[in-house]
Amino acid sequence: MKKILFAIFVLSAIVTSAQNTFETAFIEHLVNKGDYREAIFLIDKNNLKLKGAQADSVYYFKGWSHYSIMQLEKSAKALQKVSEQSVFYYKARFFAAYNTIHLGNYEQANAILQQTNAEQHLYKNLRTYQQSGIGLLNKDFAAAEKYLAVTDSTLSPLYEPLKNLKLIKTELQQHKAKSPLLAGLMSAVLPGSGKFYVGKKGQAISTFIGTVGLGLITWENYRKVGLVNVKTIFFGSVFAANYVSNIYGSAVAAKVEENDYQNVMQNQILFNLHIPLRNIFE
Amino acid sequence: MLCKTKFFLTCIFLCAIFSNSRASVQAADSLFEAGKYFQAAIEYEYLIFTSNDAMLSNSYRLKKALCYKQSGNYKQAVNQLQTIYIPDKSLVLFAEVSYQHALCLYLINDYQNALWKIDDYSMWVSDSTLLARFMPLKALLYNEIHQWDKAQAELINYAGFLPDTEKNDFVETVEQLYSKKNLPKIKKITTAEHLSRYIPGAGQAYAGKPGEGALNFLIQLSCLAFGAHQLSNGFTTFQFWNAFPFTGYLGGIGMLSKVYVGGIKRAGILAAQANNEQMAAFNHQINHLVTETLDE
Repeated sequence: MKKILFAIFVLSAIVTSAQNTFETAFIEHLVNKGDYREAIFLIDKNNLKLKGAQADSVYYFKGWSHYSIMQLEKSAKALQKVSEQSVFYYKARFFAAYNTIHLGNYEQANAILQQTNAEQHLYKNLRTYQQSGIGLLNKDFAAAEKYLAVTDSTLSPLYEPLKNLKLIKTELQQHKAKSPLLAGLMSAVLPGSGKFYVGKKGQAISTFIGTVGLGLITWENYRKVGLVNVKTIFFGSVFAANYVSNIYGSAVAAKVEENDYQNVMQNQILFNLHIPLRNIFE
Repeated sequence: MLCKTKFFLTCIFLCAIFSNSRASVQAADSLFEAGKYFQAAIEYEYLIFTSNDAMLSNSYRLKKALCYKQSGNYKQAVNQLQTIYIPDKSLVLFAEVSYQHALCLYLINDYQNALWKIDDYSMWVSDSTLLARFMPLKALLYNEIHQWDKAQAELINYAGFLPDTEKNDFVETVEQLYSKKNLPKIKKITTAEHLSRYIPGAGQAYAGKPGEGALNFLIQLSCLAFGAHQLSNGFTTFQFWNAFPFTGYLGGIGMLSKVYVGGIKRAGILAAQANNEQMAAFNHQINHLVTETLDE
């Protein structure tokens, strides 16, 4: 009886372990196929009790799946659980940091990078490179400069992106934001000039023609039939509405233009932070 | 000896229990039946992953594609079906895969490829009873590309596979549906736009919205009249200084140009909408007709 019980125990342990290995292999298969939602579903549903390398692999697959379907917060959370012993450790750590940067949590991203055990020359430099990106995104040019200076530009995966980040830094430092107040004032003086100042030349010309045209119609009617006339009142109202909305529109356009510029620069920084990660880990 | 036998029997028993605990065809099928297509797709993928039999794998792939189809992911279903390769074209599985592939292509509006898929199948299979299932689908595909004669021919051929009691009624209904007066009147988008370009509002009327066309015409006429009136003010009395050139030109003619250009665009949109509505209504009748024969 004792022998049978022992056999049951040993066999169940062996079979459970084999099943977990097989399950992990299947999850990997799903991830490789691009069935990310299915992989996540399976990991969450089965609640696998794994240890060591298998647990690390599952955390990595979960994180990678979330990353692939742009669920960055969940991705960062899972990737951070991958232990140092795992073959996926560096990839998981750097992608966790990158996801956190993408989410705008720069302090947390910095913490993840600092906690990463990066003794190898490449990873050490990749870390300072990522930190320089965080500095740029934070508009902390001194920190960005510090990290850019210590990053080894001779490392081939970092050579081009590092050059790009330096250019972005110079560009950001030289950039002068368009003033919404000035754009509004300019449009009040000369319709369309505010939009010209913002850089929307086509819109500036059409606004100028529209507003001046309506102004001329109003003036013509006022001159010939007087103020208290349905035509003068109608065209005058349309002109006034057009004139005021143009002033407001110019101020908004300046704001939008600045936001667009910042978004473009942010995307460029994120893109350049992403390139070496792809080159090194894939 | 007895103890050893007991031990090995126990081992075999436990191995059998544990090895069957993950997935089975029944489990996947029951999830499919229960409408849990996402979970069923995972189970079928697991079966594909574990299977060493190419034919079985293909049948699981088909079932996985059906999961996608049932959940409305026709594109994903097409992608899944594309991975299936069946060397023996005489198998029922090949017929099913080809049919589902063509159907999913139809559902993603890829009519030419769907027709190509059916033609590809008919190249391999000469048994006309197997081809019968494809005929109504082919007719729907021909309808979509406005090849009415071919669509009608497919349905007439399909009638050949119906019981004698239904055949005559079916053929009669098909001929009636495809008679010239019942066919969808496809409006050419460019014609609608051109009409509105030369006669304001005519394109809208051509697209089946005469009221909207008349309204567009009246608005354009009003703008023109207003502009002309403002410009010509004072001309009759030779008091040109009484004219309103800015109001007439910028107000009247400016507004006219906006309504005119908008009217041309609108005529094209209305023609496209009318075509879609007519095609949907026509195909609905064909669907209804074919479904009736299947039910019986």
